[in-house]
Amino acid sequence: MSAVETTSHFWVAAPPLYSSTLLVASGGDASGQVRTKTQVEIFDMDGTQVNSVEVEFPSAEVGFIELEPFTAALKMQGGVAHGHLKVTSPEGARHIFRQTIGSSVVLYQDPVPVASREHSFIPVVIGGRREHMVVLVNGGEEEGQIACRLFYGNRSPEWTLTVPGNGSRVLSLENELLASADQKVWEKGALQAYIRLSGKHQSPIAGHIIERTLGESPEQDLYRCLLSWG
Amino acid sequence: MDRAAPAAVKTVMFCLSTSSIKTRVHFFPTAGSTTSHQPITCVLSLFGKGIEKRAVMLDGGRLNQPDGVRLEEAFPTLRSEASGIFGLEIQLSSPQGRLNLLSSQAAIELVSPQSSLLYYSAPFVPDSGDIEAPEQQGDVSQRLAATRRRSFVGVGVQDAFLTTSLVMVNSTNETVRPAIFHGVGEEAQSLPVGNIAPESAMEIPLEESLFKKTSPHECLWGLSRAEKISVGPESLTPHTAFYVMYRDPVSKRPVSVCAL
Repeated sequence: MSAVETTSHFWVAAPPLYSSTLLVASGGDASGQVRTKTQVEIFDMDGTQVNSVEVEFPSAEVGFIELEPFTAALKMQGGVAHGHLKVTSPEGARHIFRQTIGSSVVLYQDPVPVASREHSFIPVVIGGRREHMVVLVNGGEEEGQIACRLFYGNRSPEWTLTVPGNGSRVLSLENELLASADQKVWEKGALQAYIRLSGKHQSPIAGHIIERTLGESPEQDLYRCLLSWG
Repeated sequence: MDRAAPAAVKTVMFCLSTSSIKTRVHFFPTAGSTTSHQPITCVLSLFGKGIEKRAVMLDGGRLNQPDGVRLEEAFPTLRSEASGIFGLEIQLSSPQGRLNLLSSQAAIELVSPQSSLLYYSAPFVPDSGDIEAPEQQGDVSQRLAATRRRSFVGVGVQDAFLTTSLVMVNSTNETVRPAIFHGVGEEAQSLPVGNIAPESAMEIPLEESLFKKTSPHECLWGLSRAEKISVGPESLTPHTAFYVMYRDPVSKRPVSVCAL
């Protein structure tokens, strides 16, 4: 691996609902290198490394790494077996994450983690047959805390959430976070809201929202992944 | 007050307005560790084929508070006259003195009855035309901007679930001829995308033939082909933006967007 590297942190979850593939495009200066080496590390939700693999592919091609074989050891939390995917490639590479959730497919680049005194935001619509899972990934080795504030109507409750070093956490926005709020105005209909994430420690934490729109049957549920500035 | 801060910051994005797809604009003015809630001015400028460039100032913005608007409310012309893909410039400034708003963020949500997608802007840059921002060690915007400066690379994908388009936005009043490439290293080839007209946004589907030379990958969902897409650094200015948009090949609805 070169001295200067591109490192990305993604949230990865196990089948049957989730299926993930990593696409790696080598950087613009790859002409001198015949092959690109990418290091893939998977940590469980508590930050214990459960898999590590180095993948090599021709620099002229976009590399495909299917992650399903590496997710078997992930632990369950919040109803999902999930963890942290750390990807390291030579400088200039672009990592694109392809995630299938149920019947929905989404592609995204790495979310930008926030560290101390940094902020990011995620627009969400709460209510109206939607459910949201707040997903946090700690890209640092130390335990980190993040302030999660929800702006909706004239309310803005805030929660402090802790994520182990290299670990991940999922929380239900409606059932765990909003359930502790003192009123349920959001339940009456679809309401535009915003989540603001503010770093409290040096550990960089990235946030996602997995949104589930309920269909007539579970097979008809629609999912999408909302990143914090990816 | 930060005397080194630009008077205003901006980013360039695109939006869609059709009978089935509407756009919401979201923005989050922030200035690093500044925790106040002082007023922020947000100016949206819409431009594209069939409409004259027009700007709307939004009231009520506050530092550190996310906000948003349905684009049709800001630009009623989108309800009736105009349809298609448009460019959108988002400018943020502080009327109460200079604040370094470079770490601000913006997102566009393309809303349809079946599903919606959300994508984030390229990093905000000073509105002065100078792409170099004041250095702030450790600031999230600086880290992101530095990453993007090193890597103007995207990935085109073609398979049973996704097709790819390149979206180019030019907010200037001059024609721009961007340098776009596909492939890697010595095998990279120029992609004939033509010119971007002044104050316009255009979507260019990446043709099947582009992927013919790439080896297909046997994936869990079937065969998939991917090709690297890159923008020449000289084509990236504060007034242009490039995005890769993925669509469902059957319904044609947008699925994801990544900024280059």
